[in-house]
Amino acid sequence: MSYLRHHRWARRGVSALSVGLLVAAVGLLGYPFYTNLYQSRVQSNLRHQLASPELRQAYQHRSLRVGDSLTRIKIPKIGVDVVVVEGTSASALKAGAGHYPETPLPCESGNVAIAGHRTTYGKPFANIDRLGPGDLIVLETPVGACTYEVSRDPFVVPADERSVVASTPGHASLTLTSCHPKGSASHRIVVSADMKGTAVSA
Amino acid sequence: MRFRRVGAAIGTCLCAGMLLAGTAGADTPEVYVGSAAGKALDLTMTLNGAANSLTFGVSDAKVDSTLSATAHAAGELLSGTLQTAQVKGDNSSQANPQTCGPVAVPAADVGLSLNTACAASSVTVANGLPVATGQGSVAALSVNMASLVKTLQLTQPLNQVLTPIFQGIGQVPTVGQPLVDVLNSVLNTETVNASLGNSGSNVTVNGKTVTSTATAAGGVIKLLPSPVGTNPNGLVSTDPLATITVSSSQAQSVYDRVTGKSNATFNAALVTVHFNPTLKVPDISVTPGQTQSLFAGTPLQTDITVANGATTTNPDGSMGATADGVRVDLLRDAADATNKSALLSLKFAHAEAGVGGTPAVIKPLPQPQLPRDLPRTGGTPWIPMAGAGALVLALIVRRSALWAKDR
Repeated sequence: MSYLRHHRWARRGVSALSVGLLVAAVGLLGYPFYTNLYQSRVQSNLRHQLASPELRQAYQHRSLRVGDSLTRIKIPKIGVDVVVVEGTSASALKAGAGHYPETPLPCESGNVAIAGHRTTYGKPFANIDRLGPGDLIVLETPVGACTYEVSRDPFVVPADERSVVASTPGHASLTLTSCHPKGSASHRIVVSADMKGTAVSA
Repeated sequence: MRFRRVGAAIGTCLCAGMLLAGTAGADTPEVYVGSAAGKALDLTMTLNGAANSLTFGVSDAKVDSTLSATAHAAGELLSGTLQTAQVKGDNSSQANPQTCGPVAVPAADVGLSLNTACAASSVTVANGLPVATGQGSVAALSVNMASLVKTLQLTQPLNQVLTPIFQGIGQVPTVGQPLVDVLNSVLNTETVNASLGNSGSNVTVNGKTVTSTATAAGGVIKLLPSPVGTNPNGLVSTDPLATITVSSSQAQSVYDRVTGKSNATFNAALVTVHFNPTLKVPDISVTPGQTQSLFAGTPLQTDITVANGATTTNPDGSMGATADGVRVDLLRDAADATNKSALLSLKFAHAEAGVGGTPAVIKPLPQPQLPRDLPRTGGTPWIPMAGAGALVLALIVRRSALWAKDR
């Protein structure tokens, strides 16, 4: 401390360091808010894309690229209304929710799987743990819409439990996955739902 | 045009195709070759020790995976009626309608007469599927006895000729005057009359198979075909001394474009011989693999050899089928001490077909490597913790700087 007392330049250096740390702290603490803002802007663009005839054509020809709008997911129980993009890469999921590309397209027969952020990037699936049997999930695609009904209480599986998104031939279902617990990626929480009505032929 | 062995041609083409197609393991295009060849008749006349050969009703067809299709056809090879149709490339075709012309006979003094010979050929390649067809034919052939009499040395009394014939078949030991009259009546007409069929070669490619088919229609040979008189029973008989009927032969090879497997089949020709009722000899059948002699030891000696068919598998997996036809050796030269060389040698109904290839090799698209874990959607908890730590540290450092300044 005496060193700081006798050297003015040292005091200035410490002041600058404290300002730098403060800026870093604001940046780090504001990161979740930034991701939410980013996701909001992306969603705005995705909504426009979802309504475009070009996307409708690409959807019908199954020529969607990773990051393209795919479907709109609505979960009235927890206030979710976001556009889901194709793909579950880290980049694609900046839109908030992404469709597992190895699973059928929404409303088709089989196990349709969608992953969504539970924190950051709009955190659309922040409260999926509150869903229960009978809750409705609506998917609106460029070529139609369908409704799923949650079939069981959400359950938690290890992060590498990929069987939850495995195909279910002849059975139209929807699986939502997100990280669990909130802010951690150690496990995944899973919501399973069955389609109400008839699936669109693949 | 020469007939080459189908197997050798296919093998060569396949080897070349595979070399051009590229290395194994990468995407390689499909390679196939199909060919077919048919020959209705080979005729060889031996006169004064010199052999004259004529080939009638020949055709061949060939297609390959380069979308090349070729067909040849000729009614008679020497007459210059050879037709060729050839195209290469998709959506192309060439058709030569049937044309007929006179047959060239190199040894006219033997009394060989032939009707016109005809040929037609066509090839098409449509939607990547080639088809080649060739067809050759000659209507009929006859050999006049009058000109062969000298060659046959039939100057002795006819009963000296006929007696050993009947003794050979053991039916009519005594030659009656009516039959002598019958045979005398034809000495100045035809000795041999042969009606010939067509030969057809066709190679067709569809989405699943390459099919090569060669057919060679048989024919009917009438030995002393126009006797007119009464038989020993007093009935009028107009039947030839012997009627030799050769059935058609067929060879077919089919290549499965999906599995790359080939299959070959053949139907060999059969021969039946019907005798003049005067002889009271029952009909006989000559089956594949057999040789039958008629009127042995006489100038009218006729040897019938019916060859069997065969299928072959080449080292490259291609398969071929051959339905070898029927050989009929007619008339022996009495001047020949060995009595072995036939004046007329007819080879009927030869058909061969072959096909082979390798299916296209399409390297499967790499399956996307799925990540081990389900997607990470929980954020990074160290970021807010690091932010909080940085804030605390900033406050401590700032407080220290202010404290030092105040002191």
